[in-house]
Amino acid sequence: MNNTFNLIRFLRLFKKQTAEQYKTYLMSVGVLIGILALLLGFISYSSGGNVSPTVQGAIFFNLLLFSGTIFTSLIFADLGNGKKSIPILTLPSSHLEKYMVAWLYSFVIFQVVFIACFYAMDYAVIAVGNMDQTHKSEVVNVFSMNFKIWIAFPMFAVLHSICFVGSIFFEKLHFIKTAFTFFTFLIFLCLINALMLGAIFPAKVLKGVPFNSVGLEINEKFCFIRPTNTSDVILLVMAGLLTLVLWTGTYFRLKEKQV
Amino acid sequence: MIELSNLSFGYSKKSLLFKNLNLSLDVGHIYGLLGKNGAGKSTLLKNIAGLVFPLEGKCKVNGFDAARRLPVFLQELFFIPEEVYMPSVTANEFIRQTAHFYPKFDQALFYKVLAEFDVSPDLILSKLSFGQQKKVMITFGLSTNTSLLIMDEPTNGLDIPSKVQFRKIVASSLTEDRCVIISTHQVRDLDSLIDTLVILHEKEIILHKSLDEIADRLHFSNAGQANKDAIIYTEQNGIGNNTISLSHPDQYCKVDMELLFNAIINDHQVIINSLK
Repeated sequence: MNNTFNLIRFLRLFKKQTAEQYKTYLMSVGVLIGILALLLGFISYSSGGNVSPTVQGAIFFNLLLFSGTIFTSLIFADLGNGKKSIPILTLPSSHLEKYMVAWLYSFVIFQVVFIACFYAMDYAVIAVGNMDQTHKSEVVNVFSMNFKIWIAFPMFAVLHSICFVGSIFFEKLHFIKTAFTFFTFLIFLCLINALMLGAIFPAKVLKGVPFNSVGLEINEKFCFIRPTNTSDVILLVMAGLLTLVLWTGTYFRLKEKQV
Repeated sequence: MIELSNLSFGYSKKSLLFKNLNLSLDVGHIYGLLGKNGAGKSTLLKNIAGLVFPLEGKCKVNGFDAARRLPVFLQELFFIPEEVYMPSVTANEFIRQTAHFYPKFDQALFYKVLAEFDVSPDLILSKLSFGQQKKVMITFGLSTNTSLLIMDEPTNGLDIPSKVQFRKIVASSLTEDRCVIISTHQVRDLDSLIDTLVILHEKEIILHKSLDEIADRLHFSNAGQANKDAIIYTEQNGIGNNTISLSHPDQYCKVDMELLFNAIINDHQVIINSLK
């Protein structure tokens, strides 16, 4: 018997999770469709049927990150409840199988469902808005490299990994506690970055946002140094590595989970 | 089957619940785990089920380290906690989704026992009363036919007729290759059910004896029927005194577990010594 991963056992676990949670998931999809309809419909109505791709992209970007992080924060919530965690942890399947089901639902299935819901509502609202219009609105392509909306996907991966750890690390109030920890860390990073720049350069630091430009005052002259395009690649690679580290950390946290 | 060796556990290193605990449990027995509230009965069971990890020492079940929670270990273990959680599905759906994780699951037994408990398999489990949910979980646990069945306070929430039924059903489910551990603080619920008594007190297993061995050594009776020259514990009740005395050869009586438990908990080392 393979005690690490068995496809049949994994599929059975996936089926069990679906059968026991599908009502909650369907209700969540209903709420998502409602919010999308409300946001897109209100903007279309207030702007005379015209919804620009930029506005559609902004809604996609923000809603993906917001709803995705909430959903991910709750994916291991049952493990924080002693009564609910015992049947999960003693169910005869491996930690990797339990982890993969949670990951698949919160990362892959969530994004597929979100994109499907977004386009269904976006097409509907744009079609209604374009009726009797000479200047017709276009449906945004969120995968296009011309728009920067695709950044939502790697950004979601990073935030997903943070919320994934948070959902298993905290016992309750997973989303709030994860968000609080994340923003506290960001503030700490900004403060320490400015302090480090001050220690490195023999000049007054005017601006020192992490992974962004540096502003220095040298002999009463102001210098602002913008990073090259390579820094974006470095940032993406670092974000990818951070995501992998946090996903792996979540797996080990699950292995060590106690009731 | 279960080997605890030098097991120490505590929710913090400063206050240990158990220290250097050693215990060996075998198949073919129904063990009754007794202890006062807060003695650590549930925690000991969680250690055996791999739900908490020892700070020191080992806990092995069927040769597997419990803390690793491998599927091969879990498919031979069923744990019924004191407070059960049931999903929003019917018992029929529940066994359809969960039974196949247990290779020896007996579906016919499940429906038979569920009928004996008078619970319909078509009702949504989360909407059942606490007692009914417990009955479904006990039924499922028995039907898994796992070599280790752990029940933590299983009779809490059961009405009196169901407690009688519970004893009957559990007793009939014991086989040569199965080990059942039942923890409770309601000692009378284990009457005519368990064959071995394990008492956990002050971080230690202070008693681990079969009821036959206990009955061979000790005599439980009222003061009038006691072996007067060998009384080692007396407890007052409403109508007289209950006693524990040393048994004469060929004298056999039923073990009064409640009296024995009270005697041991009240620091009667003489009882422990007389059972050694």
